[in-house]
Amino acid sequence: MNCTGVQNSLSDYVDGELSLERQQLVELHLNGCSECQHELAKLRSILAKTATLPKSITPPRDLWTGIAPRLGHQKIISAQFRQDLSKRKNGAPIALLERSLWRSVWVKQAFAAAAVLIVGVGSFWLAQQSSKPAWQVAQLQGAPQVGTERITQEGRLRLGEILETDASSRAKIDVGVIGSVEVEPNSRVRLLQATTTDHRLALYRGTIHAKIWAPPRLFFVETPSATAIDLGCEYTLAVDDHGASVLRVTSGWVALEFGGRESIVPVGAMCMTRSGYGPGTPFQEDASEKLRVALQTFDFENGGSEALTTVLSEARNMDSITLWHLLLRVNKNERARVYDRLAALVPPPENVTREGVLRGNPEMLEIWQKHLNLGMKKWWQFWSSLGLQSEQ
Amino acid sequence: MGTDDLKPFDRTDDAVELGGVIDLEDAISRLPPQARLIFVLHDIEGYRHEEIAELLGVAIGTSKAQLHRARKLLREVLEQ
Repeated sequence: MNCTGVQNSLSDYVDGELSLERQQLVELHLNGCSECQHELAKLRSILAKTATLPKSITPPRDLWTGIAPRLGHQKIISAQFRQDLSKRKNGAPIALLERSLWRSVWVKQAFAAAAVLIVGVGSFWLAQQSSKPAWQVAQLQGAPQVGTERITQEGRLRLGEILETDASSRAKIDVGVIGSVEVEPNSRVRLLQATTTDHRLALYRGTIHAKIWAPPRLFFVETPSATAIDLGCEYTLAVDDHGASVLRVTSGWVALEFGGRESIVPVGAMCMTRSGYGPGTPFQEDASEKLRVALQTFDFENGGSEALTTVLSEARNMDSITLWHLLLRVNKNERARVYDRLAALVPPPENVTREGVLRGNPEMLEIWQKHLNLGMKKWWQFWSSLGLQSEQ
Repeated sequence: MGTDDLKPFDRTDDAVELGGVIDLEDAISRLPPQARLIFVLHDIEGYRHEEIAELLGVAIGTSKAQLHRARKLLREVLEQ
C-alpha cells in the first residue's frame, strides 16, 4: 500500500473500521513512513481537540429540516424554533440561535429515541461489531454510556467507541490483560488501539486512574495536549475542557510527550500540560507553593529568568527531577545557573562534567538522571531481568 | 545526535499542533453541510455510521466517505 492509499484509510483506521488484513497493511506502511505517521498524528490531534468541544456544534439548518421528520419531533422543533426566534429578536446572533437549538436536551432525546429504534438493524453490522477488538467495561456507579448504550452492569468498549460518564456515573475499563482504568464522572474516553503491543486510549476530558502491570511503553493515553506513556505505573490523569491536563503519579513512572517535547514523571511527582505547549516541567507534589507557581509561569507564561530564579532558590534535594528537566529547557546562558544548583543538591557522578552538561550531552544527562535515584533504575532492572522490556 | 543538540526537549516548530479549540470550531463551521453534519454526529455526538446512515437516509459508505472528507478538510484548513 502506498502513501495515498494509507492516508485515504487513516480515517477508518483510527475508528477501527478497517478489515484486519487492511489494518495490518496500513500498520506495516506506517512503521516505515514518517510522512504517514505525521498525518496520523495530525488526525488524532484533531480528534482529540474535537472531543473537547461541547455537544453543541451547529448542524446545518437546511439539513436539519430533513432529519427532523424522520425523528418524528417536528412539532417540538417548531416550538423550540419559535422560542429561539423570540430570543433572536433581542439580538442573539444566528450562530447562537442555531447553537441553542443543538444544545437543547430534546435534540439529544430525539436522537436517543432514534438510536433505540435502529438498534439491531442487521446481523451484518452486529457481526462486524463483534469482530472488533474490545475491552471489558464495568459500571461502578450510575449509568455510564458506550456510544448510545447505557452500561448497567457490564459491557464492551470496542475499537473507536467512546465511553462517557455523566456527573453521577463511574466506570472501570479492563486494559486487555495488562491493567485497568477507572473513569471518573464527567469524563469522555475513546478506545484507539487494542493490540498486544499498543494499548491506547484517548482521554478527551475528565479524570482517569490507571493501574498497569506490564513492561514499559505498552499503554498510552492521548490527551489534547500530550500523550501519557506508561513506564510501569499507577497514575491519575485529569483533562479539563480546554484540553489542559494534570498528571499525578502514585507508583512507578510516566512519560508525557507532545511534538518532540518529553517530560518524565516519577512517583510522588506531578506534571501539567497545556494545548500548544505540551508537557510542562515535572515537580514533586510536596514542592513549595512558590516553586509550583514560578514553574507554571516559566512553562506556560514565558516567565523567563525571574521565574527561574524563584524555582532555583526554592528547590530542595527532592526537587532534583525538576532541575534536571530545566537543564534542557533554559537557554544556554541560564543553563549554568541550573547546573550549579542541581550539582549543589545532587553532585553529578564522576563521568558527568559541567562542560558536557552545558553542551547538552545526552549521555551525561541520562547518567545524571539515573544518579538522581528516583526509582527508575530499579523499575527498569526489574523488567529487564524478566526479559520483557519493550524495545521502544 | 551531536553533543550540542538539544532537540529532545526543545519546543519544535513542526510540532503537531493544529490551533486551539476556537480555531477548530471555526474550521468545522466552514465544512460543507453534509460533511459537517456527519462529522458532528460521529465525532462529537458519538453516533455510529450505521445510526447516522439510518438517520440521514444515506448509505453507510456515504457516511464514512463524508466523515473522511470532513476530517481531511479540517486537517488542510487547520494547517494553513
